Amino acid sequence: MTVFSCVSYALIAYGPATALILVTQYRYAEQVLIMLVCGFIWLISLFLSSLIWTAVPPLRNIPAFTLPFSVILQELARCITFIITKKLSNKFSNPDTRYRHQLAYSAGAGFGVASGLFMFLNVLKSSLGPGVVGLRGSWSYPQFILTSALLTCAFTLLHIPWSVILFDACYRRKWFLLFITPISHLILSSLTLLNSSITVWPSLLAAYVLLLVLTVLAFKTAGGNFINTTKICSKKLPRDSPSIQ
Amino acid sequence: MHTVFLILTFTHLIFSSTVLDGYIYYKYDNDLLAPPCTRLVNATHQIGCSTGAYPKSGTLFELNTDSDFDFVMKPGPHSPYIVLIHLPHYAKDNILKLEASPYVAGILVDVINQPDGLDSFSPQTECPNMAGFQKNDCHLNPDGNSLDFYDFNEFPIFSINDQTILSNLQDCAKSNQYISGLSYVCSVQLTSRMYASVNTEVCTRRLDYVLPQFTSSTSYCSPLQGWSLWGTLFPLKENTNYNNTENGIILIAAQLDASAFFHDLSYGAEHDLSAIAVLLGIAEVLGKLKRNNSINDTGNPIVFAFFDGEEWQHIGSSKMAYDISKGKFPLFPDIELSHQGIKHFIGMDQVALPSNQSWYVHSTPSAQNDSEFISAFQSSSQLNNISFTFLDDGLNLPSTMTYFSHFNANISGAIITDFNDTFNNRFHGSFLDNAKNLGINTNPNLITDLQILCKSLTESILSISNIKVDEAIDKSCNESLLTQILDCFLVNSSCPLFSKVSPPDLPASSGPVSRYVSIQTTTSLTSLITHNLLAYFIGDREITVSKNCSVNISPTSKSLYRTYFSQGPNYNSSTMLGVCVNSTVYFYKAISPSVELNSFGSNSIYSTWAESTWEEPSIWIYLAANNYIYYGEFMLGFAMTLVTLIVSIIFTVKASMIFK
Repeated sequence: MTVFSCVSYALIAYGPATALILVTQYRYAEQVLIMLVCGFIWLISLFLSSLIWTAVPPLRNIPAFTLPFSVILQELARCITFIITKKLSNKFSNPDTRYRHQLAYSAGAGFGVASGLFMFLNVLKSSLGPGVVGLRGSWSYPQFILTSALLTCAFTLLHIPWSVILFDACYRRKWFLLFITPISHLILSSLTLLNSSITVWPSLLAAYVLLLVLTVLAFKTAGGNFINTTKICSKKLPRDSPSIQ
Repeated sequence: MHTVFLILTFTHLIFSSTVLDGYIYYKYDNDLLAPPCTRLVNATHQIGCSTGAYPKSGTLFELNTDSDFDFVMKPGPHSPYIVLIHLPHYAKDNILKLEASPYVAGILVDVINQPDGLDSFSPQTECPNMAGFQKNDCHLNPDGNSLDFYDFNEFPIFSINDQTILSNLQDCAKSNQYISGLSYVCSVQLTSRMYASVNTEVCTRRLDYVLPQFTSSTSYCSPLQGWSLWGTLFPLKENTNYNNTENGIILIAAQLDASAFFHDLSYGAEHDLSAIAVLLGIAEVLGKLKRNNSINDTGNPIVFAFFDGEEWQHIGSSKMAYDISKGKFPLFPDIELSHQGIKHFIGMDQVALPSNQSWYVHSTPSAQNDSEFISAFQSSSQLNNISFTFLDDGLNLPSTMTYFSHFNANISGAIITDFNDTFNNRFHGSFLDNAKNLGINTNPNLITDLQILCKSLTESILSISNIKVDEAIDKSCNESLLTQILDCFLVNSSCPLFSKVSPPDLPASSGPVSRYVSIQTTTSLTSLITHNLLAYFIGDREITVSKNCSVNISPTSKSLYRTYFSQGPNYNSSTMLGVCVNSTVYFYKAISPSVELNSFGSNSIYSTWAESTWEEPSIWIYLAANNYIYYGEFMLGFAMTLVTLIVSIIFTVKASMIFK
């Protein structure tokens, strides 16, 4: 089951994010542009954290060393994307695309795609072969690729609410709310360190619980109305309203 | 643009291996540690094993008992299986039974653990290596099960010749013990893709339009070829036409190569290293006598020949016999040889296991009628208190003489063996024809038997070639030399004897020497070492520094002499003082005349054997998951994607209502 399992893992890791982005981002080219730019900025943050990793050879085998630096650099990059998207959006002609939560969404999606690709594509390639992880290496366990896929999905989707919350806090200068994103990111990333040594469940559960909580939070931040959400099944689609998101 | 990026990333990744792969697989790509059974083709058949275009994989299962055999014959949640068997179960019936089962995908044979008291095993036929024009109804090899000639299509069989790999396999199999309840089982994937198929005619058609980078070579198979060697005790006389028995040559021959079901394990101790050792022993004695001036170049020329490729329908000897018939041997301008110019042909095959020092001389009709020939053997046997029994089936025994007799039915010759009408060797043509079963450490008579045979034959040969030598001179063969030859070829090839006769740049090697002929474009270790041994023994030696010894072993040189520099017994790499050997020993390409005649069909009387080209064979060991786990994961991914898709579509469509 080589190609078959590769397809399954690709669906788990990238399926939800791809579906989400395809549905929400196709509308305006500017959204895709923001995604690409922010993806590239994430890449730069990865490059800088790789410099830190390279810098201390004996600590290369210990992920716990590079991890906080990587998270901090990603969050700094996120702040930079806030500045850049604001500047870019002033040049957009369409008022819909200048809506700030939409920008935050696209920025987060860009981050998510880039981070998801780099996190998992290499592992996905290994899943093309007939074997699963577990035979060699004291840290390895058979559910390695599945856990990787689930975590990749969670992280990719998580970047979106993280960006929305951060951009909103920066915009409204509510500095207290600013720290939700970096701190939750740091906690979640640190929990993944337990995967190979102790057990997989803390990071998986925390990831999806956090995803749920932050999605709700971002939803509220973006002006979502909970009561109307529960009524979507009963009401019909309004025909002439402009599709503002 | 994102899609372009994705496509580029994917195409790069597909062709590389990741760091994670190092934690998933034990990959063994070295086919010397685990030689597979490979494919050969001849005029009518393909034999051997191939996995086909796609690798074969299965759950590893170690077979120790008969109930294990029954287990793998039945379907199960983790079938198909790749089975690991040990030598007590290594028998034709078991292998064919496993191959026939649809639940077994391949076999791994542990060849390291060789228990005592193994029953016979010979993958050759009962009447092995007969030429087309010989009677094919003999029972020389009653233990023969013909496994070599079976076609295991899409069924790989690997031998495991390395303890690390075997330990990993056994650990893997142990973790599969309670196999029914496991979600993750230890599995093995075997790759051994052979490109040749059907028969030699079909696969030698060159396909020039296939891009070279997708195949290992431009052809799918190559005819088996090796390097025979021959040498004369005294140089052949120029301006001579050897065409009658008066001035004819005495040709003494042995077979240089061996075969086994796993080609890289072709040790051939009894067949035919025993004869190689005796022939080299004879050469050493005669060379010594020559250098002491105890014998002169007055009688018939004594020619030693070691034929390569003999196991595959006498490639080396048929080539030389064919060339002699066409006047193309030897290729020295003023020397001619015809088949009538071979006064006597003496071949040796399987001489190490006599009972009570009795050997058999399978002679041709001409030799039976030659009283001088017979008396030469009888007198030397009486002198040495051994027995030579004359038999009249020399023409019908498969041997190096077979093709020579095809060109000259009146050839006067004999094949010396230790068997009468059935082989004493229970492991003919198997990797088990090795040091242990030859009895290097267990048979106290082995070396003395070989030594006394060597002495007797030396005396017989001197007699039939009319070379006068003083009776008082000791013509005993060197026992230590015989021991060393057996040890170096069968136990450890990193030995002083090999270094002594070779140049300083002899490639390092270790362990026993596998003498399968394969497709040698350059000489194998076997041909090279045997050439060096023969040249060192019968050639002229001079102690010099290496740069003063001008090397000339070119096959196209018009001179009769060949020179090369050998280390000698006391080589010092700083002074570079060794032995310059000047000899009349020559390499001779052993390739079937079918190649020259370009006829590989069933009407060719010469060998049509060709070896398939192949992809690098490999064994991967890894953990594999139960199928239900894969289905579950697919369902999960599908569900996750579908749910997200639906939710996001709903939210997008109802966005105006939700976000106010």
